[in-house]
Amino acid sequence: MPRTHKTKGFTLVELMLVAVLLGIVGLAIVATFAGGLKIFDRMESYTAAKTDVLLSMEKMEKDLRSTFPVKGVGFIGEAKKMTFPAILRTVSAKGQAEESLGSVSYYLDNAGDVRALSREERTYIQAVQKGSSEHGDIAVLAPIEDLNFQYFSYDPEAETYSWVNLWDKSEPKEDQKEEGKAPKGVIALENRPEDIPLGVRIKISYRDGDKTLTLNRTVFIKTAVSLNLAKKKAKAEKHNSKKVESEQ
Amino acid sequence: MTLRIGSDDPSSRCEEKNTLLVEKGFTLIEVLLAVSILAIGLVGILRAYATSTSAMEKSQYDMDAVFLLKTAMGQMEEKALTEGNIVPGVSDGVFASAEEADLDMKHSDRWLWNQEVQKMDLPSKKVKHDFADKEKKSDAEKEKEADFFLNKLKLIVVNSARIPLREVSLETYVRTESAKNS
Repeated sequence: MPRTHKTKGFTLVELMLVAVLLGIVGLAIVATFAGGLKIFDRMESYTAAKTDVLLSMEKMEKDLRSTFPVKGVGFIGEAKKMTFPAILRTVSAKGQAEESLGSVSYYLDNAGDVRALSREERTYIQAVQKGSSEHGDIAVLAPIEDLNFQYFSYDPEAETYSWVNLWDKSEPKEDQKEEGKAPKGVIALENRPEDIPLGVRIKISYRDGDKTLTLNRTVFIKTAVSLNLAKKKAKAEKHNSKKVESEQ
Repeated sequence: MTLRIGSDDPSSRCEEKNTLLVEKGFTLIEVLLAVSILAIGLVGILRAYATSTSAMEKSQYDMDAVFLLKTAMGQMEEKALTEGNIVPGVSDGVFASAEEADLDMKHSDRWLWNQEVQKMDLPSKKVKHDFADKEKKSDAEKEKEADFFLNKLKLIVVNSARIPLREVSLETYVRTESAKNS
């Protein structure tokens, strides 16, 4: 073979050195790969399901905090559905942000294949006329297992606070029926502070892997709390002034 | 074992010979250089991994902390309402269990909370009602019957297992009834 004595290839030491170095590099690559898998596992453990539930709760909280007593649009709360006056934020055709008064509904939608948390917006006129929504409902969160609302209410007679499953003040009370001459199909036009609950507790159950988890969120409506305090105060003062009068 | 460069074409055998004379494979320096460049590249990739992991953990931590903050804040607001008053001062505690916090997270027992209530001085305390008998009361009495008190409520949530500690806080104002009613 026409080989010159200068072409002697690698020495054993050189080869071993290269092998060791390659081994180190190979180890590093394997470690990187294993690390990536670990991160993937951790991401899986903190699932998107929980994030989505928390996000939808934020949205509900934002809507709830914007509510206040509105004539003609009552706060109607049931165990699986609530409708309340809220500020609607829309974007006009010109791309301008617009805010208007309307109503928002959140409810458990059973109609489809999966249970969903749906949101429905109505303009003020639609809400007063109890009309249907312009854009229809939009599923905020799907699939979920269950949805529950509870309403924090104050009983002025018993002077106690409690969580109730039903909140509907749209029907005039027995003693006020003569006054409330609301036309048919329209919610009785009465504007009272107790139209709005002091707080709402939202409970959402969802499936995460093979288990069902429940997240709670309690939202207090400061408008209602303030109105309630003012009302309590006024009642106490009225009571006091009556006492003074009777003493005199 | 030698590294042969060039083709086996007989016409270029002369060239091949020359090439072999000059190029006798990789030198140790070359291999070392290649390995070090590779190592630098790998370090970069690994660092990207580490950064993304820590960013993700931080965001998850913040989400959990905010959830706990809101849960605790709700409980405190409810308490302030039902009792008609909050006691000013500092208090702290532990989120006892995952069930209590309605949370499915690891080490939920290591989540601590710290609460500070401060009674605010209001420049104009009263919203006067028409039927309130203003004239017959002294200023002190009026003060007592202030419509409401405003409380500054600061809540801090921190996980003792995370080092360095990362505090997440929330501040709000809670309106309570006057002290007279409580």
